[in-house]
Amino acid sequence: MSEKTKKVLVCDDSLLIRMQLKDFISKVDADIEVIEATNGQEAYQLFEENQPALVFLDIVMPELNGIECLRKIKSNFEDAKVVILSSVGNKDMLKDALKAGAENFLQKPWEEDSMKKIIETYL
Amino acid sequence: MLHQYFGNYLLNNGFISAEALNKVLNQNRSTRVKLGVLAINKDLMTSEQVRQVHAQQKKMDKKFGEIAIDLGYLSEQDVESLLSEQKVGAVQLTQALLDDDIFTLEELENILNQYKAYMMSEYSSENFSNTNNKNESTTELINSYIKSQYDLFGIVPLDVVNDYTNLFYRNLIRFIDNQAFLNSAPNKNLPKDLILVKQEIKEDFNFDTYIGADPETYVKLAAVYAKMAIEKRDALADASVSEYLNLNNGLFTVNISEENYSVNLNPPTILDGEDAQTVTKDIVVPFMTIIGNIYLILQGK
Repeated sequence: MSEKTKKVLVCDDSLLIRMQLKDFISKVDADIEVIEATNGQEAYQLFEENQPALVFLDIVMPELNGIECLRKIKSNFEDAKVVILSSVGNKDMLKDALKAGAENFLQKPWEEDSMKKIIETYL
Repeated sequence: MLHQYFGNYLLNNGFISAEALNKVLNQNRSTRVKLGVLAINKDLMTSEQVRQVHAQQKKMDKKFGEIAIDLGYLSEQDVESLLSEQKVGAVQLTQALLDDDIFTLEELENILNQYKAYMMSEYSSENFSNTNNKNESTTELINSYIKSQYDLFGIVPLDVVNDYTNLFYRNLIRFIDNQAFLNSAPNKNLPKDLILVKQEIKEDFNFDTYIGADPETYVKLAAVYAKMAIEKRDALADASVSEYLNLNNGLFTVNISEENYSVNLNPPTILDGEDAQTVTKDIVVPFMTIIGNIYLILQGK
């Protein structure tokens, strides 16, 4: 089996969301390797190691939350492409996420068209 | 009710770039929403009618509301109602987008119409057809059911608890069973083997939310929400029920933010056995669904 050339990091403390997203991403493009993290701390470490083309980041997570993780990634990797995927889609969260450098903000449950468009844009 | 903030809608649908939206949202300014924008937002006037009133305003020393009444576009009652909404944060983004010349009045009217149609579609599709009357009476039932238990709850306002519970009910209809109803039968004993998922709501309002069920219903709930074959309680089942509560509470944060309140969430946790039994249950709302009884439990702080 040939090695996959593109990498996406999915960070969510929910096993269900990680499974659903992994499944969806591989349907959109079978050539994408999906790396999984369960909290912001782990996500940052995996980002450093893998430098994925795109990150999907939840906000409400144990240890390092999504906004803090986003700030940490962007302060060290300015060109990182991070999309927030969260159930907390209110104005304050959107404001914080955009200020921290998020490319987009999808609210759960995500819409397949929006998700597909994002994957196709960044990969 | 909302299930997506207007800013997210604009961004997700490519109406605005992240950079431009960031600039609009993060400007420190006090935006006073104009009556015309509110009238368009409420479908009381079209952008063309607003433009006509603006043209008249340039010729005479009269307020927007007065001219709109003179031209027969608004009633006095409409104007009073719009004035009372002028300080509500919900439409401030709309006004800021106009002030920054990101959209024209016509473009904004068009986008707002699409946004409203989208908002309607999620909660009014086949799930709710032919059941509107039933839903209205269920709302009344839920509100009176909450009122009977509210004394124990603490300082969260009754209408916030009602809104929360009605949202929970609508999401049961939307995601789990479109025939779900409030089970107000006298026997309110909770199952002895109850499994609970807890999520804390914090900041402007502080209370704990729980979704609970007996083990069999819990697994079925997990399977229906995940749309996967889940046959026993495992990590995936717990993740599914947790995510379902998280989704419900996330939508609550969006709704409440439209009234200028800010609430945030902690990650969900699972309780079973004695831990589930000993939780203080200020408000218990049982819903009957096709997969069994699902309990909403609220604990004030």
